[in-house]
Amino acid sequence: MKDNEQHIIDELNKGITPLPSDDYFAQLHANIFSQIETSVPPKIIPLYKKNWFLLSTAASITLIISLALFQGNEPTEKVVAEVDWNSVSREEVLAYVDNNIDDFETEELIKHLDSIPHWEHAIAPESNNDLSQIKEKTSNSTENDELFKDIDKEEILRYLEDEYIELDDELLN
Amino acid sequence: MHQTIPDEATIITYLHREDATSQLALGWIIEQHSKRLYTTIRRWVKNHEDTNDILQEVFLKIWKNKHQFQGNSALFSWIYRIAYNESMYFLKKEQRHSAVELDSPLMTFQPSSEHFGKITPEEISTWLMEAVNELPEKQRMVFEYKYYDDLKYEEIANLTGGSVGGLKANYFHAVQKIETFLKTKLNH
Repeated sequence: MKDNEQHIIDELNKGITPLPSDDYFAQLHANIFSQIETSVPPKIIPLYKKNWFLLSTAASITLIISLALFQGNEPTEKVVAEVDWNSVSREEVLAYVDNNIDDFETEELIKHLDSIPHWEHAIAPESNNDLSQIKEKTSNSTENDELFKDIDKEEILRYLEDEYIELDDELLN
Repeated sequence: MHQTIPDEATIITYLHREDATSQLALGWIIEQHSKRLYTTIRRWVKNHEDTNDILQEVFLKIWKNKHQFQGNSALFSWIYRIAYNESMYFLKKEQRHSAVELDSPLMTFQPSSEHFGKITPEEISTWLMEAVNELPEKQRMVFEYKYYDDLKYEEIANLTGGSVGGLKANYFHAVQKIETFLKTKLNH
């Protein structure tokens, strides 16, 4: 680096920047602090004092309690599984199914037929579409058979046709 | 107001507090740097009224953003950056690059210069300001306080931090760049 090299800026008269009096800088100090003191800091409101917070908290608690109560009233599978089915008689089961047949799905009923004692003596042949069982049922002497003893096969078939009950070809054959 | 001003580390510590001592630190900064900042800003914006407005804004910005300064650089470097940004923003907003008032210092060539009488003071003042504005911040700061204010390198080191040798290098490179810029302008 050569400090003695002449540069263009060395050929310039720089001039002197005018500087205000000390009074100006004293006033500057006062002006700045007056602006700082007049700017009020934002008021900090605790969150728990805000209405929206209180309302939303109350709504959340209410919702949680409602859900907890709702959950408690629903029967669970575990509760269902703990029911002693041996304490329920066959007649009671059959009567219940018969009275609420529309609430049951046919597929589910067929699955659980074997679990009900002497189901072959049941009185709802159209719900399982099984003609062989219909024959078998009519041949057994139970109180339910009494209902079908005066009905012959042709009448049953005509009934099924009228009710548009679809039968598996296999069953018909 | 002429009280003993503590060292920079103490000023920064007080400035970051949330009590009355924080305002005390701001007062120290104003007393320590207001005159130097005034002349610097005045060189850029060329008139007293605008200088006064910008200078106040600079100190208010220092107060509002005091927690942003973490002491990674010298305090005056941070203040200088705020002053420069405020001034350039003002000039851009006002669309003024060289609004010169009668009492503004103008650059003139010395009679012994080959350029004497060929270039107007307004032109050379504008060109020089443009050349300085193109410098990186550190070079610009060193150039301004060495060339315009005739500060010693040790004094500049106290303001900006860094070594004397580094500051000399900054000034040398700044002068080279300005020289190239002015020669280009003068030869057109």
